[in-house]
Amino acid sequence: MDRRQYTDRVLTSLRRVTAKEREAIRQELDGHMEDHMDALRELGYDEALAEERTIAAMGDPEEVGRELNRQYPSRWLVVKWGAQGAAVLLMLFLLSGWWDVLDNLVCYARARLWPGTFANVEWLARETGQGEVDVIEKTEQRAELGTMTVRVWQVGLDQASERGGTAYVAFSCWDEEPWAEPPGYIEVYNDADGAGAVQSMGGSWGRAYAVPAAYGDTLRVCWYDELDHQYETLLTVELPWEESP
Amino acid sequence: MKTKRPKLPMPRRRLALLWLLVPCLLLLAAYITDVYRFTPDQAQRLEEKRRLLEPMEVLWQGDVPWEQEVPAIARFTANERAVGFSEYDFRWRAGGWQGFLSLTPRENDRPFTAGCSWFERQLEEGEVVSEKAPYLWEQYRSSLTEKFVYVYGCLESPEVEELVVEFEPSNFLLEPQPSLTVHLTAADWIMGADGTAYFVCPLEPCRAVQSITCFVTAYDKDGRSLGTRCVTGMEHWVE
Repeated sequence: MDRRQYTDRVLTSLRRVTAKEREAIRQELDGHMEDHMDALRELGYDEALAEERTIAAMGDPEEVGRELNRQYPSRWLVVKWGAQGAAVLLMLFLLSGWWDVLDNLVCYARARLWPGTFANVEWLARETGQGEVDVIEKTEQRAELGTMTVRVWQVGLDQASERGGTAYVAFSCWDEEPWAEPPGYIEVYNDADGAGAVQSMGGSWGRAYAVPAAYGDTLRVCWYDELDHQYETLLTVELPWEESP
Repeated sequence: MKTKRPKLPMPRRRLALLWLLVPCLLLLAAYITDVYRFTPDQAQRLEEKRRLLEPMEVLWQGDVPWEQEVPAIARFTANERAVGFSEYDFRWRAGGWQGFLSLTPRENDRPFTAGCSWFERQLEEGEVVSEKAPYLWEQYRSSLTEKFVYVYGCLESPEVEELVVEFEPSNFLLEPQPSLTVHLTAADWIMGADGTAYFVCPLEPCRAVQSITCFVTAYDKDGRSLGTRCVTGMEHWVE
């Protein structure tokens, strides 16, 4: 019996081992016998005798196989397969939820870094057939509402005069949990006469509004408090009047 | 010289335990990101967040008063601004506990705050015992329900010694049912963490009624009325 036959006999007596484990055991046995033979060769044994002594020293292959079987109990293999199955099923079951979470994470990044990708003043004016807006400015005003942050980032004025024109405001919202959609619904009003928006675009992560305004007016960014049954002001937005025509 | 051996695979036990961690981590992530609502508390927190409410204290919890296909509970909650009555049920495919919350704003300048909510169970065809049953079933199916009414709220004034709940069902499609009067005293108060006294009053269920009216009146220790509020329909204080 040579080394290869010895290893094959050990492996034949193994049950319940995976292909990967079988290969690892083969290499381990080979390596072990190779080390033993190297030691014998150094002592002056020839190749055939070194192999014979090594195999004899390894012991009965069936006994080695039985011992190895004890080292690989099948219960842990079953536990592993069960856990793998549960993980796959859970992934599939929660897939739509994960997809929403992923979508929210992307929207969160957009709301904080590129709010204009949800809605902006130029886009709203174009969509509503207003064309070019006379003045558009970046601004930076923030308010906290529960766990939500509202950030007004752009304002604009078009055909603004004492007789009236259109004021624009664009803002983005995000929740303190990046995977959650911002909860509140934000509205914009003219602070002077309470006029509401005539045009709007966007969604819960970012919106732009067009509100009728006359010279000197400011805008109110509000949310509806269902307990007080009234709009609560989050921010008063100054408009760029001095630069208007 | 020793032969360089390949790395042995991880022991089965360690590998299995590591794999067991994966579904646990998935569940933890689902909990943290609210992808799945594992508890009514989690559903309540989300509902509060969605409606921009301060966290509400759970003061009373009970089973929904008839057997449902899914686990369901009713809850009475409150914070400094409102009292709320909610129902949560567990629908495993829809993402765990789902619920609704009806809110009544606190009225600090009044002797008490009170609200009224109810659950409705559709009556089975066999439960509608009447000569006109086929006609009723055809015409008034949506009103052929059993209503489980809850009156709830809190005391805003320390003068309140007793609350009287007067409940009057009307427009009966089946047999008429009597009005109810329930007296609530200090023994019925539920004390909140901040020392406020709250109350929940489940009323006797009423069947196949088309309208209900409920008044709550507060009395002081001398039996003088401190105020009456109608808590159904157009809610108002009776002056």
